[in-house]
Amino acid sequence: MRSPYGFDIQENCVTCPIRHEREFCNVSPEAVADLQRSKATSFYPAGTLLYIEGQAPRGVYILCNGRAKVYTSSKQGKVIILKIAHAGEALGLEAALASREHEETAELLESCQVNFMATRDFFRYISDHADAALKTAGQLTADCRAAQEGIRCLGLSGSVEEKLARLLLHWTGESRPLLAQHDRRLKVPYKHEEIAQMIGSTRETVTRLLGALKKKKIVEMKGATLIVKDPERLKQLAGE
Amino acid sequence: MQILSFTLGLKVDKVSDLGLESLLKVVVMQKQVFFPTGSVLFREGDPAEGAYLILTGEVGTEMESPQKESLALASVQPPAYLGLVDSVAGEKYSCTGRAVRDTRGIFIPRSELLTNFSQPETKLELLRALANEVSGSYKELRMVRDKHSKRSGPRKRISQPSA
Repeated sequence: MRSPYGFDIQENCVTCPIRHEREFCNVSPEAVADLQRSKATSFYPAGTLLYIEGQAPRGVYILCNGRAKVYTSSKQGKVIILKIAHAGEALGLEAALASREHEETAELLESCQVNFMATRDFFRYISDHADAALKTAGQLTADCRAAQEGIRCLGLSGSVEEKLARLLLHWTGESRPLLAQHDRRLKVPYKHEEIAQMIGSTRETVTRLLGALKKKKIVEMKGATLIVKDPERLKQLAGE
Repeated sequence: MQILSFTLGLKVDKVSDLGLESLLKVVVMQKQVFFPTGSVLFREGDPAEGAYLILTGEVGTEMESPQKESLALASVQPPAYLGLVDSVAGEKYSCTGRAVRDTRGIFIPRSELLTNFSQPETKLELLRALANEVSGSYKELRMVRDKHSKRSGPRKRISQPSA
């Protein structure tokens, strides 16, 4: 059924035609039947905050479609984008597992269908299904490695130009869940301000530096698509 | 403690005369590794072949840039896992672990870690440990963000020259 938000409503995980394409949902038939019994499906408009930093965990949220921005803020109030979560990712895992307050905020970027599983049901789900536990582990390791890359980018890059170059290289390299990529073409779902929040800079500086990279023919921008024309020079800028 | 008994392959019911705690102590003594102050447990970039369960001492972690600049991260206090995320992911160690004080721990090979994810008794403990590593990385990221921010305070207002 088509919803007013412009996407197909899929309330039954067992019969979901795209379940096998979704990382967290691609589990055994027994596990997916259990997931179907344990979850509650909701629909939210863009801008909805699923949970906020400092809030006690209630459970985990599985994005059925759309995207969510996951961010945290430093003591000085600076926003740090941790990731853009895509369909098939689970959110709020670490707070639910560690039974402590969320360290991040999850904000929907688009209208989304979200499956929610209460903490108690989630614990039973991962206890009963080994593949579900492995999927959870995979998601946690991806989140942790993304945060480590952020630490490396912010803490070990000298200039903002170097940080930006590192970020672009990271996107073209190992962060496949973050961005759809074909060769060196990237669909960049971030605004300049959001890129600035990732590398600890300002929107103006990011706009200026991307302009300079274009001028030097290192990258090319076509709408939201970024093409790395000269990866070797980008590597030099990143200090690699 | 659940993961210790499984990691070490203990059959507790076969040795019911011994209490679990005392049995674990004996086996832990046999399996543990010792790192004197200053020695390296693992290096950044090496294949992550397993994680350490730190039992005593303290381990400092650091990242290095290609220009060999170093960034000190939080130190790990026992009891805690070290290198767990990298080992589960089957990637390279993302940092270097160095004993800040004399340290004792147990090395758990990657294959055993993955086996433990299918054991009902140990998977929750491992997932909680992974969740703690994620949480620790977020804390570290926030600290680095503040430390390396260009402007740490509000922008100064430029006063208009008086007419």
